[in-house]
Amino acid sequence: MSQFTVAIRDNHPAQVVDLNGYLDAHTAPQLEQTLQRLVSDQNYNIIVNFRDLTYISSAGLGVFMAFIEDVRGNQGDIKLAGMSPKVYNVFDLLGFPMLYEIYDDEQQARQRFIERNEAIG
Amino acid sequence: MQNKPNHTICFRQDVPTRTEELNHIREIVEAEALRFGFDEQTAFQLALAVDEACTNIIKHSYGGDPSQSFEFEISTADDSFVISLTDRGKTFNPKGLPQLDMYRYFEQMRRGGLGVHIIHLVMDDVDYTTATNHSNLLRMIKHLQEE
Repeated sequence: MSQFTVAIRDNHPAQVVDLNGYLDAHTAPQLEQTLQRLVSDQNYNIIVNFRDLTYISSAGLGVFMAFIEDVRGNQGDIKLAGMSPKVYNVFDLLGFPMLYEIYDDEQQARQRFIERNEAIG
Repeated sequence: MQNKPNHTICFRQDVPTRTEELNHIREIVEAEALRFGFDEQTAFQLALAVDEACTNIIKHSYGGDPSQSFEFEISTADDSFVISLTDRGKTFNPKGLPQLDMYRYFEQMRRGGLGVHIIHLVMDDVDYTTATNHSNLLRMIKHLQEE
C-alpha cells in the first residue's frame, strides 16, 4: 500500500499538485521537494488538489507555510482544493482559512486564477 | 488516576523513534477512541494530537535519531481516555510553551510550532513530568462527557 504520492499536472494557467494518501512528518518532505521544484521553475500559480488525501498533520501544514510568502511575492498563489471534511477540519482548527483560499474543487480554484489574469490584463 | 480500580490499560507498545511508525500509532488511537465511544471526528482529532506529540518526541526529544524508542500507552478510567508517552530523550515540555496567537502566526509567516498548539486544542488536559531517572512522561487526557 502506498502511503503518500504527489504528482504535478498542468491545468493552464495553473500547475496542479495532486496529493494521495496521508501527509505527516514521514511523508511531508516529498511534498516539500515537489513544491520546491515548482517554485524553482518559477511556477507560482499552484493548485493543491486534496481530493485523494486522507490525513494531514502540522508537518504537512508547515510545508505550505514554507512557500506561501515566496509564491505571493511573485504575484502567484497556492490555492487549496477538494478537501474531505476531516482534512478541512485540521486546517480550520488552526485558522488556516484566514491565510489560504480553499475551494470545493480544482476547477473553482483554476477559475480564480483565470479571473485574476483577466483582471491584470 | 492510575490508582483507580477501574483504570484499564487498552494498549501498550514500545515504538521505534521513526516517523514511519506514525501511521500505525494513529490507527491504534483512532480505533481505541471509537471503541471507547468518541465520535469519528473526535477520534480523528485524538489521532492527530497523538501524532503531533510522537512527532515532537522523534524530532525534538531524540533529535531524529531513529535507533531509540519510546513507550506508547492508551488507558481509560471512568470517562477519561488517556494517552501516555514516555521517553528518555531531551526534556521537551509542551506545557511550557506559550499559547499561539494564530493571527500573529500568519502575519509573521512562521513555520512549525503548530503541533503543541494542536495538542492543547484537542485535549482536555495535558500533563508533563520528568522523573528522577530522566524519563519524560507526557499524559494527554480527553473526557467523553465534554464532547
